[in-house]
Formats: sequence, structure tokens, C-alpha cells
Amino acid sequence: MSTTQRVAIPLLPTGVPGFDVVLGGGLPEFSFNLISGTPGAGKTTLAHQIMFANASPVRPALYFTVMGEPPIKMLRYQQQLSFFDLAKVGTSVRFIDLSGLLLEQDLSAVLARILEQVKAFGPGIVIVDSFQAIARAMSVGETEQPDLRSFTQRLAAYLTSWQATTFLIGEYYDRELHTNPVLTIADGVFQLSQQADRNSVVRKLQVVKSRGQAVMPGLHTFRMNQAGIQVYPRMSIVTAEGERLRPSGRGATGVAGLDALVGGGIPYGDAVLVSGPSGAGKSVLAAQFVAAGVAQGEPGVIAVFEEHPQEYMRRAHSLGVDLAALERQGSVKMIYIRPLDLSPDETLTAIREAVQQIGAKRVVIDSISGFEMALAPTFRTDFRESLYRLVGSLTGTGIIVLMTMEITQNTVDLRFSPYVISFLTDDIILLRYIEIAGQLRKSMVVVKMRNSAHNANVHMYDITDQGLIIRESLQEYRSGNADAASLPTGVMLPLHPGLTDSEVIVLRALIEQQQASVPELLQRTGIAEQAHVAAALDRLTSLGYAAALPGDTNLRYQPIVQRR
Amino acid sequence: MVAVDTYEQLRAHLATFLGFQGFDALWDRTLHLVRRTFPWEHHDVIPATPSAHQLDLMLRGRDAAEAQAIVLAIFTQFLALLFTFIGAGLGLRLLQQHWLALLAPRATDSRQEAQQ
Repeated sequence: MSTTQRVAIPLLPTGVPGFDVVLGGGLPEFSFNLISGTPGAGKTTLAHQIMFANASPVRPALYFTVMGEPPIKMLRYQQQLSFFDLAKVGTSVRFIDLSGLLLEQDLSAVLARILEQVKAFGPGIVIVDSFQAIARAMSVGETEQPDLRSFTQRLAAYLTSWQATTFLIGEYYDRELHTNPVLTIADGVFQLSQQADRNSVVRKLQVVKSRGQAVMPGLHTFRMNQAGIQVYPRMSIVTAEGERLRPSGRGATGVAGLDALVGGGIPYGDAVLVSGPSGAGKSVLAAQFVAAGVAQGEPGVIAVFEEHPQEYMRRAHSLGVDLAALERQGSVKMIYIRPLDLSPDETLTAIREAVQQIGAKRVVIDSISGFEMALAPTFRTDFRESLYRLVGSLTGTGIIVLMTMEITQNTVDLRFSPYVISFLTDDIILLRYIEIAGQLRKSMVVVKMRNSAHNANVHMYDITDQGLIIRESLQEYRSGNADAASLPTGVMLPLHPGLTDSEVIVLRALIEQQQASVPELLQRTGIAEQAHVAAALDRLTSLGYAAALPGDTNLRYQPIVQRR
Repeated sequence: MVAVDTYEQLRAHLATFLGFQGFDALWDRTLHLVRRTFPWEHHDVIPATPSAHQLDLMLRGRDAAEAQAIVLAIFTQFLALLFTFIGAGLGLRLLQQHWLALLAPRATDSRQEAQQ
């Protein structure tokens, strides 16, 4: 048979966010499905949501209740959900109770009544809740199973012939499901479950069976709230490294001096880990990174897991980054995800939606440790895999992902994270504290840039009211400790004794720039007062570290320091 | 009797989605509440199970005004109880569809009476 002769099976939208993705596009029309799960798993809600999404006056939905939840209670609770459209009840959605029929007569009467109603209304959707009650009524013992099969076959054949998409609802457990004849007859089997782990409960959905559909395998988490059910499809592991879509070019970091250290910016599609102890400036760097993206037309999403967004934005603002203004103009979106029962896919969905909403090219996850804490305990055991899927699905589309990680600094071990996660990061920037001339200073080193040249020298940096600014390389310092080969240890002695901190900063900037004006030095150094820069230049000039270049209005300076 | 006819039609209609058991449970609760205001006489001969016969017996022997007050109280209480559970919005919607059907036979009867 040629392709053109094959019957096309239309797919119905489920009306359940995320479920269509799991199903490979939607529900096959006229299919005969089983929704199974333990009590409270969300079976009735799922069925109602699908029903209200598809029911119309022309193709109504019939909801048969059979010895399950009393209809009056079901109607009482289900109407609390936002998808429950009162205007559809009675016209597009009809509830029909069959409990009395099952009690007083037999299954053939139940079947006859269902068929009578189907003929009368010509429904597009038929739901039988609960089908398990029918099965139990038939099943005096295990030997009655053939009758159940026969009943189900007749029901399936009839409802499909009458062009109805059918859902049977049953409280089946795993062991029952696999021996149940309904499983054989059904075109689709959707199993819902909820698992308690410590103090959290996680709901999961699995498409056990779906004829003719390329469904997304695995267990998918879902959440139930006033809007009904939302499914978070389990994103597959991203494509092989070599096949990843990597747009050329680099994105500016927004940190003065850092672009030069990372080889001219962060390559698009890279995952960057910024690791450092508390107070080292990881979040400031992340905020600058996002702001720099906006400046070059790349919107950014910031997912914060620890700090409240208001506090996060207030702190960024005090350090020269007005995230609130960027958010107001639609270039930045902040997501605050803090529940302790999240699934990685729920987080990923929230981030992806935000990315799509503003067309983001940069994503910040601040921080990985906060992200881990927000996950339900059941997901923490395979946290690395979750993170891998999260990062891979973003970077695979060319987005730069910057993640922060708080580490405890020690002097004997160079670690970037408590987890072995460096395999999923392309670039690693390590922030450390060092002691110089009796002062605790901040240092930074670019540990890794995958497939990219970078400056491997340790540099000092400061957090100023203009944000984080890279200072001089520690190459220019002598170690005060013979054993201080490793990064964090040792007392570093400055090579320019007698100069104040401000003078050293200005001198370093001057050395880096080769020649610069006072305004340029002001911007590069982050020193707040122009007078302080001018005073430092005066002293550097008088001590022979710098010289003023002849000029008219805008005086420029050059260093005359001999670098060792 | 109009009250008994209305009861039977209401029961048949609402049982479509509430089930007869569901309707009877609500009706039983309704009578229990109304009974506080209108105690039944001869309650020993009135069956406990909700039915048209039960309603008929409850109203038997009362004068027209009293019977009307009881009927009004029962149906008002029943609707209030129904709305308590499923809300006035859904409740009215479900009743509305068959309200005309409930009235239709009597409208026909009225016309027939007029013709005669």
C-alpha cells in the first residue's frame, strides 16, 4: 500500500499541558483507552480535563459513573477546577449514573444503557468511571475473566464503531494491570501513580501502551492544582556532543577584564560553571552576564532557587545591574522556584517556557545547590543525570547556561563542586579567597574552556558598585610561602610596596590598557570617584610608575613599570 | 397530585447523573430537615424509604394551605441541599434543562382543560 493510501489518524488535543507532547501529538481519535492508577492518583481529574477540552454540542461527551465516586461528590469537587465549564454541562457534557442499573440488574443492562445513550447523543468522548466496578461485578473469581474480556471487546467495538474516543477508569495496581484482559484490548493505557519519599509526594504518569503512536517513554512527573493536571514530559538525553547545534560566536560576560581571560567571551551553547565560596560574587557575576547579554540583544532568564527575586534584584542593583528595569522592558525574566518537591522536568519546563516567552539566549541557574534542595528527595539520588538533561536541552539550542555553585574553600583540595559535574560543563570559572599583605582578597581563575584558548593565570578581582571587575594577575606577586604552589594558600606579597590599593589598581589597569585617560581608568577600575583616580595617577607619576602623555584636552597616561 | 408528579419527574431527571441512590439520599436528608418544622402525623405508617407513596402519605389528611406549605418547604429545602453540594450554578443548569419538561405536561393539561 502506498503512503497516500494509508489512513490518517487524527490526534485529539488532550487539554492537559504537556500530555500531548508525551503522547507524540495527542490522542488518536476513536481510540479505546484505559486510565489506571491508585486511589487519589488523579484519574478522574485527567478524564474530566480531556472531556471538557474536547466536548462540543455537536460531539458531546458522555460521562458514565458506575459504582465509583458518588456523582454528587464528583461534581462538587471537579467543578472547583478551572477547566470545569459549567456552561458545557447538560449540553456538551452529560453525566449519566449507572450504579443503580448495575446493582438492580446485570451487566448486559449496563451495556445496553451505554449503547442507548451513545446512539441518542452521538458522543465524541465516552468515559466509564469506574470500569473496575464493572470488572468486579463480573468477577466472582478469577475464572470469570473471559466474560470481562468479552464485555470489554463488545464495548470497544461498539464505541469505536460509533466514532467515540473512549476512556475506562480503574483503580488498578501494577500486578493487576499486567494480567488484566482490558490491557490487551485497549489501544492506550495511561497509568498514574503517586510516590511518597520522606516528606514529599511525587506524581508520575506513564503511557504504558499507545497503539500506532511514537510516545515518549518513561515516567513523567505531573502536578495537580486548581488548573487541573500539568504534565512535565521527561526530556530525553540531548543529542551526542558532536551533533549539538553550536552557533558560532561568543557572548560578552559583562565583567570588565573577564572576556579577555575566557578567550574573547563565552562561546554560544556553552555551559559555564561559576564556582566559589559564599560571598565571592557568583550572583553578581551572573547578573552582569545577563545584563551584558541584553546589551547585545540577547534576552536572559534567571532561575533563582535560594534568594527571593526582589532581594536578588535589589542586591544586583546596588552593584550596578538594574535587573528590575531589564525585566520591565521584557529582556529579562526571573523565575523563582522554591518548592521542595520539584521534579527536574518541572524546573526545565518552567525555564523553557520563560526562554520561549522572551526568546532568551542566556540562562542563569543560581544556584545548583539551591536547585538540588528544591527537588523532591526521590530525584536527588540521580541529580547529576537530571542536571545533565536540564543543561543539555538548553545548550543544545545554542543558549549559554551559566550555573553558580557554592563550595567550601579549603587549602588542600581544588574542587569546583560537591558533585562530579564538570563533565557537563564546557567552562569552569573558579572564585577563591586569598590572603595578600594581611588582607583577604578575591581571586579568579578560568580552569577550563572547552575547545577554546583561555588565560590560565589567577587574577584578583573586586566587587565594586559597578559590579565585579578583574584586577591584576597574581603572576606579578611573589609567594610568601615556598609550599604555596596551590591556589588558595600562601601569603602573597605585592611587587609594588608602598603603593596604596587604589594606586595599585590604577597602575594595573594602566598596564593592561597600555595607555588610558582618567575617564577610561574610572570605568575600568570601578573606582567611584574621579578625584581618587586622578590622585592615584598623580602619585604614580611622581613615583615614576606612570607618565602623562602630551595632549590637548583629554590627558592620557601610560605605565612605565618594568614587568617582571 | 402535582407534588407527587413533580417529585417523580425530578427524581427521574436528577437520577440520570446523581443516580437513584444519590437522589434518594438527598431526598431523605431533605425530609429529615423539613420534619423539624412540619412534624408528620401518623409517622408510624409512613415508609422510611423515599418514594412517591411516602410523599403522598405525608400530605394526606392535611388541608390545602398546610400541604402547600409543606410541599414548598420540601422542594425549597431539596434545592438548597442540592446547591450546597454542587453549587447553584451547576444545580440550576442541570434543573433548567428539564424545567420546561416538568411544566410541559401541566401546560398541555391546562390547554386541554381550557378546550373542554
